[in-house]
Amino acid sequence: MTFSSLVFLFRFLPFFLLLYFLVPKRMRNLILFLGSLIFYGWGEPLFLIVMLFSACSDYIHGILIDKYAGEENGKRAKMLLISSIVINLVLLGVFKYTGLLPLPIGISFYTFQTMSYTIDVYKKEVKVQKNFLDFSVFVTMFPQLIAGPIVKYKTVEADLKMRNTSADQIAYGIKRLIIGLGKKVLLANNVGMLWEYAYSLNSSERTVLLVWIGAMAYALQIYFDFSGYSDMAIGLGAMLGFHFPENFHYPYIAQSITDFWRRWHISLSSWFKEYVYIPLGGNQKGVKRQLINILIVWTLTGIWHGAGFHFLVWGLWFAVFLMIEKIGFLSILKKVPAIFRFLYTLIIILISWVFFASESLTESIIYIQNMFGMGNTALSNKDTLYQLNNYYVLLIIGMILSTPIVKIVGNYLEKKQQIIYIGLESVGLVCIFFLSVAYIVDASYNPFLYFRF
Amino acid sequence: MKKNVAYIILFGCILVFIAVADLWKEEKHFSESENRILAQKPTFHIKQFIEGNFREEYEEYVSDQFLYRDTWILLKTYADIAFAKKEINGVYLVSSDTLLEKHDVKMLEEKSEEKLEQLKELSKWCDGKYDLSVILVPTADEVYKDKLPKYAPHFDQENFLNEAEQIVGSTHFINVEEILKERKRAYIYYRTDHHWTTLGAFYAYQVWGEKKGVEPLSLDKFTRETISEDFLGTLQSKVNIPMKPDKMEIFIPKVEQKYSIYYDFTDEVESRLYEKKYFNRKDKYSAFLNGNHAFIEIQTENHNGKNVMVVKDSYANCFIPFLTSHYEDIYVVDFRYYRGNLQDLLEEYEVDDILVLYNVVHFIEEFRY
Repeated sequence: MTFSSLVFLFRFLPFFLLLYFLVPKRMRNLILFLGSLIFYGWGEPLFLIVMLFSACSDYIHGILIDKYAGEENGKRAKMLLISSIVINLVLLGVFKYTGLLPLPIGISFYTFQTMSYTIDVYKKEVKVQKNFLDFSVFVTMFPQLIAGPIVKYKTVEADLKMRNTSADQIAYGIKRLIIGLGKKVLLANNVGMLWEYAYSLNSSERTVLLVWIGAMAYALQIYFDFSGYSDMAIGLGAMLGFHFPENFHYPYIAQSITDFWRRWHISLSSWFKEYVYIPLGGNQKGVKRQLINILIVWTLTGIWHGAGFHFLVWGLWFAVFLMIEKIGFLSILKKVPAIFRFLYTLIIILISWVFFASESLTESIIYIQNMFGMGNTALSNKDTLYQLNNYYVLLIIGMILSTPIVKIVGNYLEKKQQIIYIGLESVGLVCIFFLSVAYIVDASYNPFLYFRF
Repeated sequence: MKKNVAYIILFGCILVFIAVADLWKEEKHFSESENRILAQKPTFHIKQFIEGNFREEYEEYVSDQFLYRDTWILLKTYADIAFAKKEINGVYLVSSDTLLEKHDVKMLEEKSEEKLEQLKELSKWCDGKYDLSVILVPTADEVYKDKLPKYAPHFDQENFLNEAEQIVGSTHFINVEEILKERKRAYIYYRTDHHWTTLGAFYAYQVWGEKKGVEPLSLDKFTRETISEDFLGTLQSKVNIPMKPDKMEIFIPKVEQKYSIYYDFTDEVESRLYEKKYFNRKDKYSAFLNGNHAFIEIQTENHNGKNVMVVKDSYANCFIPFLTSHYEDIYVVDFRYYRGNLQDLLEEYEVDDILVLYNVVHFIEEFRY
């Protein structure tokens, strides 16, 4: 099931929530577990087995690691940790990189989550979870199951056992859910069509202006799509009483690539930072070692996104700029006006998205050449202007919403003009919700025009 | 705090209300606005569920049957308008009561040469054997191209028609573009549908008559009968906004005529050029010659020995009735539905004239013979 579907919004969610809040508190984990199985099994009934296998495997590994953790040489605990990691990586590898089997949705997310658990048990940072239900709720819980954020076990350890759901938190969750839905359905899906159009054209039909606005459209699409999903996950989590970490923090106002990666897909980069970068020595073992560590982490980040070579290049592209910034470019950047920092960052990011979004490396290179006027001569043409004319409102809205402007204005209003704030907020949320449903319904609108001819 | 409780109640109610009302509502079988049968509730089988078919069917069912489906679609169209979208579901919103269809300009440009080549072959093949006439009707977006949104992609039909005229020669090419552009202020295209009106076809008929050297019946020789004042066509279906409906007319010659019409090689004989059952239905344009058929034979009472094979698309459906005053036998073939070829048909049905009648877009998309 996806959040932006009628079946989720009007079949699953209302009845799940009613049940969840009606049962006694101690049964909530059971309801959440069963609900999550329905949620996941609806789309992928067979892959339930894979997910439950992963949950069982790390549940047992956790207990065993904990059991042998007291041993003096710690050999057995270490072997068990390696075994847990290997099983997860093999699962991920078989499904994701061999291309032999269809990809179980969410596998990249839940394998990373369960690894965080066994590693932290090994490091004695968390207590072992002996309650299988509580543990499987952590692995399978539907809000963040299929598209993150990647929640580390320690983040929700306390929530799994005991969580309070205050009206404030539920209301906050509702708001995040609606905002996320709107980002995904109203903005991401719509603006994405412009990228698809620009990408679908032959090199000779594109113009420089079109490929740039196309890349911008993709940047907005992936941001609103992914951060919208995270908003919905965080919102649903909040409604159920969980505190999930934020996953995005206005990535497009970043002033450097280093800054961008503090704002983009935060749960993934912090996972890699904690479980790969720092164990490798991080920045503590000299510059040379640090650069190698950066290279390793962003190679892995690239591969994590998929088997395509273009994902690897996407990761390496960032690695290169992160390394350049590390060895001194960052201090040069600090001396130039903010606008230049911003533009430099934006251009690097837009190019990165072309690698990311294309179906192959060759396609992405052709597109990037077009961005710099190679392979085609025209700067713009009538068709480009038509596209711009069609999409400028969405592009402008998207750009504004990529910045904290709305939040700043909102905070100001909330303090100074509370009545207006409440009015705007509630009307706005109702509108976003209804419009989103309208777009979801329309996606299946299919006038059958057999009398067309 | 109070505010938050209000939020919870508000959205809780919206969610539960829509969900319950949606589960409770009566299900529909057919959608008028989409002109199709809607998905019905699938039955659950474990095998299909595991294969994913049940899920797909159920999701399709939920959205097909969703509460106030048409209203949601309308809301979406208004949102697109608010986003300053120039086209919605392949339709340009020209004004509050007029829609124009968007065509795939790239495809038209790519395929136009090939189709002209085919036309050339046909014209050579006919030479000396048959009297070929070609009518290619510009679509509304050509006639009203000044009303298209700024920078909208546009296929130059004028240029295409000139090329076609050169290929078949001006004696065989009946150019209706000029008259339609001259009469653009008249009601010659439907505002909510992609077809031309009977009046538009009438003007083309006048040009045809002049070119063929026959006396076309003038307007006063017809009784104009309005068969519907609430026609909402295919273009309106795509956006589903409330619009002023189109009026649909038929032109009946004042001198009574009788016909024997045979559809698709059957022996069943019909006597009406206009099928009444469509007058109250959504697809009213199908009233002309009972919609699209692979093959139609129309016998008239003019014993003049003249006959014609019309190779056509749906634009011809409201034009062909005008031909009934001038031929004894009219054969109509639509090669989108008829699988054979023209040569074999002509061996079976002897004719003197061949008339090719398409709109420019359909001609480029799917002309064959």
